[in-house]
Formats: sequence, structure tokens, C-alpha cells
Amino acid sequence: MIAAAIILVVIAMIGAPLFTVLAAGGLLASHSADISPDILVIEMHRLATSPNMIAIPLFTFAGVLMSSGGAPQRLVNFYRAAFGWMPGGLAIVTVGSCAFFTAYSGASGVTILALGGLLYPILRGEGYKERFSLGLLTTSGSLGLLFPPSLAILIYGIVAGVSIEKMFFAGVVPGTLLMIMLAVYSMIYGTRSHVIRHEFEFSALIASIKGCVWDLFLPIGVITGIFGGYVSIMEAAAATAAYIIIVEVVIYREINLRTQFFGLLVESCILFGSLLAILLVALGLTNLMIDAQLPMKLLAAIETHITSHLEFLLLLNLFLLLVGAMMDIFSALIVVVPLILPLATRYGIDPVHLGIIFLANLEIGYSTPPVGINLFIASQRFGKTIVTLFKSTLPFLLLMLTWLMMVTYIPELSLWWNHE
Amino acid sequence: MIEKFQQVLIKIESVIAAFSLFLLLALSLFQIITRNFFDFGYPEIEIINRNLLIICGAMGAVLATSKLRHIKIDILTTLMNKRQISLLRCPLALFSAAVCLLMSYYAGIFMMDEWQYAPANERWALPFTFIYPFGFGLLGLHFLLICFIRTK
Repeated sequence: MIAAAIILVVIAMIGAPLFTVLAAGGLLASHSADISPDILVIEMHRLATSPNMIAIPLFTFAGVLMSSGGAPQRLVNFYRAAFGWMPGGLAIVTVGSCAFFTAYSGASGVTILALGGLLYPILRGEGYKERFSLGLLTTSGSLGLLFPPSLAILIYGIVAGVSIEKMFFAGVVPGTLLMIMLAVYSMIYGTRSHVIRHEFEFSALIASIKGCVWDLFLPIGVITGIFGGYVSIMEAAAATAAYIIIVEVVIYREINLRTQFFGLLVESCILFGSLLAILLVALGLTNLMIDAQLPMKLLAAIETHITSHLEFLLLLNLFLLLVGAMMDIFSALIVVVPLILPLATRYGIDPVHLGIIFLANLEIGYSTPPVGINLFIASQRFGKTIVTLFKSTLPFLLLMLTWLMMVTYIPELSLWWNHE
Repeated sequence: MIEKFQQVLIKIESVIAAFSLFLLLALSLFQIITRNFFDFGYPEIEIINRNLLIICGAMGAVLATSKLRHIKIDILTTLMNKRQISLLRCPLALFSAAVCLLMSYYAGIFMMDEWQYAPANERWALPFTFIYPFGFGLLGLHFLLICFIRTK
């Protein structure tokens, strides 16, 4: 069994689609446990028909529509008019617009493609050094993962069986804290580097708001709807997709219904399908591992060395940073969460707080070699080597590691709303 | 010939995928409107939506196969040259095809069990379960086609 598992890991590392490797693992595990492998399909069906799943394709479609329309340009115009006058203003614009955009587009690297190309020449033109600009854009590609309606939060909620509304609440303060830390760093950098500063123009701000007023209503609607308890997650997803169709097709006319709409539907299905394939087969496999008492065996092994809550959190961070650097965020969530959740509960960690720790680590993993996807996408987009990009992201990664420590060891940042 | 067959398959799958997603959105909106403004809803639509989700996901996964867009952890391929990577393509596709065809077989067993034991009031939705063996079968077929067609 161990030899088979090693062979499967090697097959995954040489480029087999992850879902086939996980499915093969599930088939092997069920065979060795003397269970009929159709249990894997029963588990798949159970997960695929769970109510919150419908939100995933609909939010994916909303993100695809948004990135194909004119939203990136409109958002940059607004943030520039609002924050461009501050020291390091354009860097703050980058942080704000990337976080906004990623919350909808799902951190699939599309933020770097859509906004990076737009912002990189402007940053360089206003005197930001190449290293700072590349580092900022590469790390900003995964900002916003903790804000509603982030797909990563949805998937954690589904896999861990945690209320998605609670997860959305929990992500707001840590996500905002990271944005503030990056904004302050950018202000210090902007002041020291004497980058160009613009005069604040009230008329330009009003014009930019007029230009993107329909986009600005979207987060207000989603947050009020979900947090106010007016709509379920699935309803919020359907309403968001319908709203973006109206905004992009009818109001701004950035998307042509006849020539583009079909392609965008197909593109959304491809993104969703590649995710669903992993989600379904991985849960079958991890449930078999749970049936085989693997988390309990792990716990027994860990308990002999790790006695305190704090030690466990430190080990968890090291492990998750490693996972984040090796695996894509969605597969990491699906495969690792069911194994770690029982251990974390044993050490008294709230599952909602655990979710935020998971996402914070994986967000950092996005920009960490060897397979941090942001590095690869930024390398393609800006024509720079992975090494150059990694060096550029280092100061940002250090800042994010500090943030990670805060998020991990101050649970109140994530659980401030929970008075139980 | 094989390439043409693959292109036809992709077209049909694209239409099914796009139609399922569009219908999923339309029915979800219909449910929101009827529930919130007219105080009624159709429970059947919930069941149809859950199955549409599986159809659009399955078709999306099939399309991701033919466009080589599945999620991978190909750490070792960064150390290989293009020739070595292209040499691996066919064995990996055959491995994936074998896994998908096996899954299709077990999904068929699941489907037959569902037909046998489903309660009478849920029988109308049973044809949707065909998507599991069919979807895995199509995935297997696309992996086999990858092996036969030189992808640019």
C-alpha cells in the first residue's frame, strides 16, 4: 500500500491530472479496506447534491463575466481617483483593486492577468522600481481570498461542514488587516522612493464613481444580503451572476451576448469542472482515510511530541506553508482539511478559526516556490524569471508571514463576532 | 479522422455544458423570485438544479481534459525538457483513461443500485444519475484521444 501511494505521488508530480491520481488512490484504498469502490461514487453523489455546491458554478460564472468585461479598468480608475493622492497611492490602488477583484474571480491567477497588465506599466511610469512593482502585483494576485464571496471560503465551508456565513464573517478582519499592512508598507515605500504623487481632485473622484457605480453596488449587495440574512449563499450567487450579466451586457455593453456569452459559459464550466472533479474524488478518498482512523493515528503520533495548543499551531503553520507551496489551493483544501480538522478540534481550535489559518497559509503559498501559481502566472505575464519574481516578492512575503502569526495566535481577529 | 471526431465531441459537450449552466442560473433565479415575491417554490427545481450542477461540472471536466486544463501538481516537470514532457504525455493519458474507465464501471454499479432501491417519489430524477458512468466514460475516452492525437 505504501509503495502504491509513493508511485501515485510520483505520477502526480510528473503531471497526471490530480483528480485521476486521487481517484486511483480512492480505488486502491477501498480495495485494501475490502470495501466496494462504488462507495466512492456514493460519496461523490452525496457531496455533489449538497445545497451550497450550486453557489460554486454561479460565483465562478460571475467571476468569469467580471474579468471579461470592463470591471478591471473601471475599478482601477475609481481606486486611483480615491487613493492616488496618498504617498504610495498607486500601490494602495493596486492592493485595493486586486483584493476586490480576487474576491469575485476566485484567485485563479486571473487577477494578475487582468489587472497586472493594466497596473504594471502605470506603476513603472510613476517611478515605482521594477522589483517593488513585480512583488506587489505577484502577491496581490491572491489578496481578497478572505472576503465574500471567495470560492476558497465556500470550499472550506463545504469540506469542513462549517457555516459559510460564519466563515465570511471571520475573514473580514484578517483580510482587511493584511490590506492595511500592505498599504502602510506601500506608503512608507512611496515616501522613501519619492514616487510621483497626484493632487486629489474631487471632480475626478465623482466621475470615477459614476463610471463604476454599478460595480460598487455589488459588494454592498452581497455583504448586506448574506450578513443580513436576507439571502442564502446559493441565492446570493445566482443574484450576483444575474446582476453582472445586466451590468456588463446591458449597462456598460462590454460583453456581447451573441459573440461572447456562449464562450464565457463554457469557460466557467471548464473552471468549475476541473475543480469539481478534484472535489468529488478527493472527498471519497479522504473519507476512506478517516474510516481507516488515519487522523486518529496521526493524532496519537503527534500527541507524544506536541502537548500545547501553541505548539500545534506552529507545526500546523509550517505544514500548511509547505502544502501551499506544493499544491494548488483548492486541492490542498479538499485533501488536507478533512485530515487536519479532527486534530485541530482535539487541540481546541475553533473550526472557523482553523479555516482562516488554512486560507492565510495557502494565500502565502500562492507566491512561494516551487509551484506557487502566482509566480508562474506573473512570470508569463511580465516575462520575468521565477527567481526574479521570488526575490521581488520576498519583502511582501515577510510582511504576510507577520500577518499570518497575528491571524494564528490572535483568534479574536477571526472570532470577534462569536460570543458563544 | 480522430481529430475531427474529437472536435465534434467538444462542440456537443460545449453546448451541453453551456446550456446546463445557463438553465441552472435561470432556474435558481426563478426560485428566488417565486419564493421571495410569491411565497411558493417548486421542490422539483431544487433536485433538477443539483443534477444540472453535476452535468455542467462533468461536461466542464471533460472539456478541461481535451484542452489539457486539469489541475496538476507537476513539480517534477519543471526539471524536464519539452521532449521528456511530451514523451510522458501518452503514458499519463493512458493511466488517467484507465482510472476514469474503472470509475465509470463503479459509477454504473452505483446507478443500478439507485434504480433498484430509490423510493417511488424520487424515481423521476433517476435518469440524471446516468451522468456519472457517462461522464467518467467520456473522460476516459478523451484521455485515450489525447494519446492518439498530437496536441500542439
